[in-house]
Amino acid sequence: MKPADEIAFVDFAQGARPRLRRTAYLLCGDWDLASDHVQEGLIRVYVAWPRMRRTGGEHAYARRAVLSAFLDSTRKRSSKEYATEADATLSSDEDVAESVTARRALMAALEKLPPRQRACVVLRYFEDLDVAATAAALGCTQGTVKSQTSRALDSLRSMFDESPTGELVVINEGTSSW
Amino acid sequence: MVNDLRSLLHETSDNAPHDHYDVASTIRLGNSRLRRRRATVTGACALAASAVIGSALVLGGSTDRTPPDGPTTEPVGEVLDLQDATASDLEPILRYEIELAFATTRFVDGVTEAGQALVRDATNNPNRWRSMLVDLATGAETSLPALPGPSAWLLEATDERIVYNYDNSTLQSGPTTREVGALVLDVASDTWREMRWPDLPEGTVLDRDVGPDGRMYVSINPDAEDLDTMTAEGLTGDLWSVSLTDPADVRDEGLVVGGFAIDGDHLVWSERAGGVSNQLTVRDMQTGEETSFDPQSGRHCTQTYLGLDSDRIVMSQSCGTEGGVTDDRVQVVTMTGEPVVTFRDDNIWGHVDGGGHVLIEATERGDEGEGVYFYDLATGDFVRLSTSIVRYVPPAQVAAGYLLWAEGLGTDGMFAQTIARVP
Repeated sequence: MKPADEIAFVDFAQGARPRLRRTAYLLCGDWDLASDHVQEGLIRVYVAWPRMRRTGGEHAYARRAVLSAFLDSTRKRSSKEYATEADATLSSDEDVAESVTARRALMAALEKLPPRQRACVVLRYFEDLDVAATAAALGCTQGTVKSQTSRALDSLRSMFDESPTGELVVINEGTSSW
Repeated sequence: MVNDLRSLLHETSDNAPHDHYDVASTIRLGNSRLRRRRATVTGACALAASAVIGSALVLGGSTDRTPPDGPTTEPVGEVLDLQDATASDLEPILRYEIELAFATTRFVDGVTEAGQALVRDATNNPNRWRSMLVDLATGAETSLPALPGPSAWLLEATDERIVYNYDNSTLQSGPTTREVGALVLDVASDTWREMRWPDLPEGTVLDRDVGPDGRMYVSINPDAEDLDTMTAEGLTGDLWSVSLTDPADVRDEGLVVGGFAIDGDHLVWSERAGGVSNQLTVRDMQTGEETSFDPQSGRHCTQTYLGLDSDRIVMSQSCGTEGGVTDDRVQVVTMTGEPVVTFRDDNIWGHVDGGGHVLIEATERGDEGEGVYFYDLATGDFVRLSTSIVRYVPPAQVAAGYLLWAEGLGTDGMFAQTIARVP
């Protein structure tokens, strides 16, 4: 790779990594694993970088690469190996706080979802992708995204209903920021 | 208690532990993967590829296009370095400060002839990026129809139409393709037209531009896997032109070119893209008259960019290293090869912006010269615009009288794009 391209990649990787890491954490439930997925995703971006003219689409490509790395890892692991680490922020006196309890409940509920349903939830409601973009990212049809998301939301709502955490809702469903 | 899913997802991921990230590890592992892939590709392609490209792949085996160290030919004519730039007193008329990592990243792709900024919001759905025109005099915003295709490079922004090009170098969703396409906005009808040409050969696009006849010109190397397969020898491509209204209208221009550029009635091309090029040819596209000359760029100078603006040819070159300092140059010559000026400094790269300027980026992070500069091709003014650069913002095209540049704002993916009027 040309030195100038490599410098550009370094800039991009350092700028994009924090957000990619948050996405990966919500997908896998473990900050260390999230770092691994982001590393794998950025390696894939690096390999493709010389072909990627500066068009502003690099971040979307990187997100797809991280998602792909996460899904690849779930195919290699048994479901029992899925890790949900104890969030450092949950070990203090704040444990009693409702919001902290809700966050813990969310991660526990996400853990119980199949990987692609979990990905639908994260892409749709954290990354704010629409159905078409989620389908493109996951390499499936829009109908599949709708059904997977619907099942995931049903499961999450059910799990919240059965806990003392309270009701889970999706506010502003279907609105656009433009 | 009611819990909103979106809020919970954001709150849950807000408190990330410190990230001990070393980007060098990504590059090391990426290079390792590239070497493995290239070994496979080289074996597969060597039989099918042309003799030149095949031998380049086999013998090159590396993407390192750094010219050999040692003495290089000195530039001819006036030579300037970054220290010669004056400070900018331009007043911004539009400025966006943007964070790359947000769900929507805003890019200013250019300024139209009507004095409107073409603003694109790269949303989470890369296949439906939104764009609008911002009137620079009034600030009024006009939404454009959603872009129907993948992200792309702006090629033209006139009163009549806006043209983006995309190809296999603009990776988005889905597998990499070797197709070439264009998105054309007809301003009068306010509709985008997505153009593809079934008869246009597949391959790696080396360059693209719009000609005076309104056609898009592309140089295509059918054998190179991608631009990464370019070695120190560089690549050539076959020049084709296509109609931006008729998908069946494809024409082989019968030329083999390296880099090429078009402005007004003139087409200029070099012998090789990404390699040493000792000859430029200028063709008058109306009369067919051609002139060839040696731009005297230097024996070791690898050409990394070729541009044309009115009657000035602009080349960006990498000419090796001396004493650990990179000898990079941005050379400006007339249409007959007469030297105008050469900018020579460490880690610089330049290109024309369509508005009569050469934008030069000094890319050495932390160096006192880091930043964006512009050279006015009409007046010879050389001005420093910023003290930092950003490397992932698409190059812009502007109409005469405007300047548009991007600069970094710290290390967390923040950058700014600014438009100013040029006297």
